[in-house]
Amino acid sequence: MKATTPIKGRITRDSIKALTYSLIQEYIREKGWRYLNEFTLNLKDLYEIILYPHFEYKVVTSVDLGFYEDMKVLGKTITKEKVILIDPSISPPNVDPRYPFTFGHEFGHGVLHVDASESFRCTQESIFGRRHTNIRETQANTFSANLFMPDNLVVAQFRCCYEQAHPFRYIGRRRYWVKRFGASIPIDVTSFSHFCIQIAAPLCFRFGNISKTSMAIKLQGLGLIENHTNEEFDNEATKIGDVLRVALKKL
Amino acid sequence: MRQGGDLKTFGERVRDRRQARGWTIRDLIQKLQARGQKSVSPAYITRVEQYGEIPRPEFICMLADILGDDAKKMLECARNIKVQRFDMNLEEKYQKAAGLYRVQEGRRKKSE
Repeated sequence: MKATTPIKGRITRDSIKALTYSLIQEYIREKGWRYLNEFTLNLKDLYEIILYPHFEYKVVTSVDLGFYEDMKVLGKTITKEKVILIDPSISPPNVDPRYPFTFGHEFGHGVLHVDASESFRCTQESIFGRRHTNIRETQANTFSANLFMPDNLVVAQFRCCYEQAHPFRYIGRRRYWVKRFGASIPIDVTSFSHFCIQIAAPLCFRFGNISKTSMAIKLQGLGLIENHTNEEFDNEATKIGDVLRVALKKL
Repeated sequence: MRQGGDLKTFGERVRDRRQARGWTIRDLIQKLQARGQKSVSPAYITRVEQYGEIPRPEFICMLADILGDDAKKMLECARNIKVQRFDMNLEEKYQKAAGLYRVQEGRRKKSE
C-alpha cells in the first residue's frame, strides 16, 4: 500500500503524522535536497509536486465565501467535487499569515474526510479557535500543523537558528539575550505571548511563511519554549502588545 | 492558486481524459516516460492541468496518443488558448499605452 493513500481505519494523531511525514519526505526527495539548510517549504511547490498529484484537489481562490453565523468563512472543502475554496481576502496576492494554515486545514479535510457526504465550511473560529467541539476540525488542524511544521524539521531548524538544543525559558517581563544565527540580540519582552512570537519569528520563512502564532504554539508543544510563570499564551494579547510597541516607538 | 476561466480548457480536457481512464498523475508520467519523455515531473502535469500551461506540439501529440484523444482537436484547443491569451495580453498592453498617452496629454495641456 502506498504511504500517501488516505488513512484507513481509525484516524489518530500518529497516523496523521505518519502520512504528513511521508508527504514531506517525498517533497524533499523530489526537490533533490541533501542538506538541512536547503529546506524551505514553499506552498506553491508543495501543491504542484505533492498535493495535487496525490489527491487531485482543485484550489479556487476567486470565490467570496461570505459569512456563516456572523463569522467570515475562510475556507470550504467539497469532497465530492474535489474542490477546495479559499476566500480571496486571505489568499494571494493579499498577504495574510492565515492563508497557509487555512490551505493545509482544508486539505486536511480533503485527505482525511473523503467519506464525508457534506462539505466543510470553516470560519476563523473553527480553524484558529483553541477549543474545538468537532473532532474533524481538530484532525484537519493536526494535518495542517504537521504538514507545514514536521516535528523533526522544526527541532532541527530551531537548533540551526539558535545554536542550542535546550529550550528557552520564560521567567517574566525582562530583557532576554538571544543568540540568533550567531549574533546575540537583546529582546525586551512584554509578555509570554510576545516572547513566544519573538522566538518563533525567524523560523516561519522556512516553513511556508506560516503564521508566527502557529509556530509559537508548535514550539510550545515540542517543549522548546518553557513557561515558568502563570501567564498564558494569548494571540489577542500579542496583537495588542505589538500595537502598543509600535505606538511607543513612534512617540 | 491561479484561476484562468476559459484558459484552462486544455488542462481540463487532459484531466478529464486521464480520469476517464482511471489513471493517476503518476500513471500518466509512467506512460510518458516509457515513450522517452524522461524529464516529465508531477509538477509539470499539475501546471498543465491546473494552471493552463500549454506544452510543446510534439508533447501534445504524444499526450493525445496516450490518452486516446484526437491529436488534431487537442492541438486546435491548445492553439485557440494560446491565441486567446495573446489577444488578451495585447489588449492589456494597448489599454495601458492608451492610459499613459492620456496622462501625458493631460500634463502637456496643463503645462501649456
